[in-house]
Amino acid sequence: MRRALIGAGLLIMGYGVCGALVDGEVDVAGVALFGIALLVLHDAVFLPLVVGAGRLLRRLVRPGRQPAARIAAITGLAVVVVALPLVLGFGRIADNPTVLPRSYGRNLLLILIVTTGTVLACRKGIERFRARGPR
Amino acid sequence: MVRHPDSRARRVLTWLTRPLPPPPERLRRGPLRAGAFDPAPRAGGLVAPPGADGSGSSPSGGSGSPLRSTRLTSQLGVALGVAFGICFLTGLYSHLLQHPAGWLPLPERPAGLYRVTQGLHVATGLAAVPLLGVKLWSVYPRLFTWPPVRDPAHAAARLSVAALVGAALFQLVSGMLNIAHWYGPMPFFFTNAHYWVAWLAAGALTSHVGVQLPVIREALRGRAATGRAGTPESGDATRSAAGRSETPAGGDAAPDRSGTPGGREAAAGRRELLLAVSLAAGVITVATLGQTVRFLSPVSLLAPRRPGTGPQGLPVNRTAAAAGVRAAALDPGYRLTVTGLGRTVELSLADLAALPQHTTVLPIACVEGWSSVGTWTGVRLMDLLRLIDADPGECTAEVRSLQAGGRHRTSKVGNPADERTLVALRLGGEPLALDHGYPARLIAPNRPGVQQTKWIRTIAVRRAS
Repeated sequence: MRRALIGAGLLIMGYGVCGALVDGEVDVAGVALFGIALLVLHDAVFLPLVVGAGRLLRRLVRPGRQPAARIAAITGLAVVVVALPLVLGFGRIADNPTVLPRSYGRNLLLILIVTTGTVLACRKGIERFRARGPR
Repeated sequence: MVRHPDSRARRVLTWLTRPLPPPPERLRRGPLRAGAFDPAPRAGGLVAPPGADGSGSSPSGGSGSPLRSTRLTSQLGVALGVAFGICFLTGLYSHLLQHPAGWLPLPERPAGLYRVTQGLHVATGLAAVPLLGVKLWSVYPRLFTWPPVRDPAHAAARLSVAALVGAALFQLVSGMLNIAHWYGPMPFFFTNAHYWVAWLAAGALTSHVGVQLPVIREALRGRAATGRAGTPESGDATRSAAGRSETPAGGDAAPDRSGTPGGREAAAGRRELLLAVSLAAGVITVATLGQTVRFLSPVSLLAPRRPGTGPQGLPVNRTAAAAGVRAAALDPGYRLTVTGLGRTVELSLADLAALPQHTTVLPIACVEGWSSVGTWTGVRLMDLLRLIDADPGECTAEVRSLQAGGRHRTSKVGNPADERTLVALRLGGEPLALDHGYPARLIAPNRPGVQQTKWIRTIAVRRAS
């Protein structure tokens, strides 16, 4: 089973790499550059910042409030990541208002306020869910 | 030395697992030092068991998070595997619709199928953002395994993990940039790159599951088997099952020993993070799904498109001005040419309007995941084919736009005999807006928006091979 999965996976990877090399419309160097850049940014910049923020949270927030604070922070961060390209709005087209039609900056702020407020208000419930028996 | 049939294979195996010289110990600093990610002792007396993985933990304790566990990683991994599986299959379907394989005819019904599969593709990809984020965080300590490379096999395993992480990040980020129409940061053509990297990610994921299978099995076994999970033997099993390739790294403290105080704390932390990921995925989904599920539109505050808006209540991807067809489309001398099988007819807009008109309700479903329904009126494609005495059941048609260039200026219709496939002249009872393809556009069931060719100039008919 393990060998079959590993072998099949290697074959599929090989198909992807060969396909990209043969496809005249794929700039393989550009693709590799983008993938490696993402990998480095994620592992060497983004994650250290997240880990640092987590340590700070553990130091600054009272232990009883940490779970809710962490959940609010994780949710907020994920929403920010998804919203960022929309908020920056570089994809807007002058003659086509149907692309990115909303005020994403304001909407993001609204979502962050509502989710953070809701999570903090449900602090007690989160603590109960957390402490539920082993599962 | 006796020659043995598999001595060559054995030599390769020996080479692959031959230990490499370890790097100098003085390089082992920062995140690389022993126990760097071990949980800090908690105020309140709950100390995570030191050295739960049996190696690399310092008695002093690090400042790592107590929330990491093999079980958390495995559960997130399963969810992520399902999400990537959905994205891969729906993406493959979209690819096959746009690049039909002769051996695999795809049906035109249900008419709204592509709208669902592509909506699901984008929604699942977006929901996978927090999943991937927390999953990668949960295995972050493994990046700093010491020694970095034990032997050639270990190097290959680590390289394939790097390929997996790079490909996964690539897919999610390039997809997000694409739905935001932000192509600047991508030094490549999105569509083809997204397609081939999907294969790379799928393969790397399959191999990764193969490598980690025993660890995953062990971590997910027996939901409430507190006793089992707490016994030293099962801990050893985790380690030996992980094999030579990877052992749970320094940060993987407490594989959920629910019987112990530290285990209870780890289980609580795991539930907390699963709750956070679910909440994040839920918020992201509600905030964007309204681009295709119309009743969610008012609360989908981050949806890149809004169904029901735009000229004639329909969003536009490419305007007539951007496509460079304004003048040609508004030219009163416009003629639609139907040609093939040795015959050609030219039709003015008045000729087209004089032919039998049919009305159908069909969605425009974009590859970017948004969709919006319109009521289209026009001439059936099969009726146009009959004008040149072509049998629609025996032919295929290539629809060409007035556009002089661009990737999507032509599209093929494999089954022109479909009665809902129209050359539409009207939308919602009015003549087509210029940005929706005036004077005439293709509209057909179960078809990506880029193939609903606008501003038709020519329909080239060919006998189906």
